[in-house]
Amino acid sequence: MADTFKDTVAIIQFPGVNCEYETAAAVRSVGLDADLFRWNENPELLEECMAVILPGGFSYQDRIRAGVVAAKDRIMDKVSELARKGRPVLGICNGAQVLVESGLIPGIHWERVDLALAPNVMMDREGYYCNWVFLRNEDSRCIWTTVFGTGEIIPIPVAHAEGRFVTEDMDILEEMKQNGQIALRYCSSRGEVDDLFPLNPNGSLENMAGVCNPEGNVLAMMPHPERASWLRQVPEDLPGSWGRKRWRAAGDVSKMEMEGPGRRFFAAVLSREGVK
Amino acid sequence: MPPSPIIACVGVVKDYSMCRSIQWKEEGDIIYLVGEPRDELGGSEYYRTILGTLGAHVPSADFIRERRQISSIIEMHRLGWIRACHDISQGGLLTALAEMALGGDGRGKLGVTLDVDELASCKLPPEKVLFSETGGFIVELPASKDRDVLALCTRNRVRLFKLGSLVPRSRLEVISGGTRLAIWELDELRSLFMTGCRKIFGIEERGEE
Repeated sequence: MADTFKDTVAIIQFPGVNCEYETAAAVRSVGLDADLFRWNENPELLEECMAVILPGGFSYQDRIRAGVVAAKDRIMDKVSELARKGRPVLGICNGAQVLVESGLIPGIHWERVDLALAPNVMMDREGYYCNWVFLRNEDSRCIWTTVFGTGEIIPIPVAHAEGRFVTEDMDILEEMKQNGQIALRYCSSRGEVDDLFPLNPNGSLENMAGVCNPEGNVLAMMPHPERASWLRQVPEDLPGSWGRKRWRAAGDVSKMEMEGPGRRFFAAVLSREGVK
Repeated sequence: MPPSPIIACVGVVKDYSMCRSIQWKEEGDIIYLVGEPRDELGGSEYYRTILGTLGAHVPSADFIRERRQISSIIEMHRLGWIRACHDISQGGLLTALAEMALGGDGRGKLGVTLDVDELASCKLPPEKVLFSETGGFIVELPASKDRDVLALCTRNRVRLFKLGSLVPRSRLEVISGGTRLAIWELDELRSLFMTGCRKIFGIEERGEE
């Protein structure tokens, strides 16, 4: 088994997730293998995978609270163990909710739930919100964002109803900041961080869009990088350089099939020393 | 909403990279109407919502005219001229212009001033020009294609009206005889466009938790 999984990223398929195939396609687009790993498979098999991704969707129908049932699944014990050993773990959207509910994020107190992803707070609307937003890559410990420059602006879609990072414990927030755990913040197309809707699409504290653990190997992010992994997925009218690039690619399939702004999240594990 | 038959039409796109959205793209581009508004407001959105009547003259189905218009649009597109395109349907010319200004996600920023006098040859009062639901298309083309598009439409025997050029001011303005008939800020239209369903279905706004 050992060799077969070496270049493989495991994408955990809980009942009810729905982004696993797109995520696998994005992982394959950077030259890695992707393995759809069912929640009830032998968790020990995860040991040989170079990284673990928890994809988006509605694991267990979002029963009780988004992500909370999956967080109690047996397989998460193994994910937690691997995370502790430094294995890269990425949670996207519902996957981020699972990481928060399992206490892997913020991970200051191991497996203690210190953060929540609360219902969106938006202007003139409520519930589910789906749109393109902009992220600013912050100076952080996160290994999943090392491929982006500090301050780099990344356009990306969000699609969720519960994506507002909150905590009751302001000491935790302070500690997260000091540890460099705020990896991604919502911003304008020019990189200005403002907490007004829709720049901040859910009212997240500190405009947090992605939070990593103190070691930096685990990242919980609400936006969907797999939906921004090809240039053709970018709206042609999106403000900023990616929208202009997409507009110029119109009429040329080979350009449209080139990489999009989110693909580099998946390439990050490739450049990480010691993973392979 | 009165019960109505819905007919869906699906086409296969050979080259998806050639797809164009309805949203206006470039400052300085020219907006044209392909086709001609007629006194066909029966069952229109304007009669229903403004006058509260159904009217009688529903848009006629003129297959030759439709074919000529559609062929012209396809020809312009194959030549790579079209930057944005939208059809005239519910709500007529003015609604179509507003939809193009906003774009599908309401992100549009470019504005236009529509001079109704450009359509004087239709011999219709301004409200009929603006709200007639006779079929047609609005296209955005680069200013450099101005002569070519007129030649193409003349050859294909379709009417072409130059409606105005795109400006960076985010507003939609209608003028006639040098005076302003109406003006909307795109922000105002955007808010109506993005929250319309919520108002129709009576969904309450929710404040901070």
